[in-house]
Amino acid sequence: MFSFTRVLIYIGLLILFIYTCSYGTWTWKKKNYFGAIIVFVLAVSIIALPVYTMLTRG
Amino acid sequence: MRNKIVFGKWEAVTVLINVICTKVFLNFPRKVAEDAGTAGWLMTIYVSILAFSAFFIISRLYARFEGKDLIDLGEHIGGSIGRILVGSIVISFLIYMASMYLREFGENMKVISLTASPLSFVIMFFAVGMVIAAYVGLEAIVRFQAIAVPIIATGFLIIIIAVLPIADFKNVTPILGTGAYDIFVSGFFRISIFSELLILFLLIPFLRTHDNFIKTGYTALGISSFFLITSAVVVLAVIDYPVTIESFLPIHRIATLINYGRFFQRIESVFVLIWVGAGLLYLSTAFFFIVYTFKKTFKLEYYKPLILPFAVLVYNLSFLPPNLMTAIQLETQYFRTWSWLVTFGMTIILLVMARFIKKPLQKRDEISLE
Repeated sequence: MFSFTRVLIYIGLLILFIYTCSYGTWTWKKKNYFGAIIVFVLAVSIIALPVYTMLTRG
Repeated sequence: MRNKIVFGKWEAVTVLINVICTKVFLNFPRKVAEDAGTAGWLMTIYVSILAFSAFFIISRLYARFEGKDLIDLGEHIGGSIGRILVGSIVISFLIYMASMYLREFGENMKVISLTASPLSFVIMFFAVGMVIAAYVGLEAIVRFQAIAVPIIATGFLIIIIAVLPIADFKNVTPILGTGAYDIFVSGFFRISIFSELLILFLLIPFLRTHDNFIKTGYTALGISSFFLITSAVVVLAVIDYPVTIESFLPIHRIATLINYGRFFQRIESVFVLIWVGAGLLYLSTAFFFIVYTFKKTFKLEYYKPLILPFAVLVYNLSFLPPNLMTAIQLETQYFRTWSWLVTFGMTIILLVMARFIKKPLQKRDEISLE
């Protein structure tokens, strides 16, 4: 369940999540609020979907 | 800095040929045999004529909207809401298409060549290719396809010509196969075979003129129809129906039958090479347009920060079907039945609606691809 490979994958996903959120924050500062929200939704989905896939599909 | 990217008709034609015809290497010949029996080739001719007719209508309606893609049309009709609605439909369409094909390419690769490798590992190679292609950008993707597609087409034609001596064209009879209803009524929905033509409606700003758009569309449809019809006829002629519908990858199967003396055997190695090349280019194109459409729909400044998140998304979505059969079912029974509604239906509706909007068209911006 929590093998070394999985921990590495989770860390990678977390880094990607932060990276995507930072783009969302930058977009928010550019006053593109809707675009920023969508980027945040994308950031959440790239954490949620892989976790779901790993839990259900192994 | 803003990039101004324009490319020629030939580049656009090769992109479209590749995205429309890659299914030839997957399940297309088997699917048409399942649908219409020995008349699979006739059904392919029929849907090709339908696709030409639909494109004729679309090209006529597009005359007023030179240089405008579907998202621009959505914005012209409904402002931001129209843009977001149309963009979301296009993004969903492309994500579905890319994730299903990613799974199928990975599974088929595993079946043919990498039998001992884990599926996630095989799919990772395609995903990495998609990511690299998206980073280098559209210009590199289309210019590479202008070189690669003729090579892939030559490899395909070598296989087709090499199996002709063992083809028996009596196998494509009875002409009407499982019946006229299956060909002309149920077969109507198979116009979705050409649903990748949607990419052309996103390429319009890069083609500049309406004349280029028309020539690109007709040329791509003509050459793609030729490859689709040829594959259907030859597979049905080489493999007796109903054995055709049992072939997992029909073109690979006929490639294994090639045997010219001691030295020209097992030509399927050519098949693997061209198939992987075609698959990678297909996925690269689809993936690039996912991030490009997302950027354009939500008016984001850059598309490159979206590449890795979308790669993770598409990669994981490709694992949602529990097995290959479900993935094939999702593609053939749903996508290949209803995707015409997006490519042809939505485009025609948008163009008809846009004709009734009296406001002047917005001036074309330079295309930013950063």
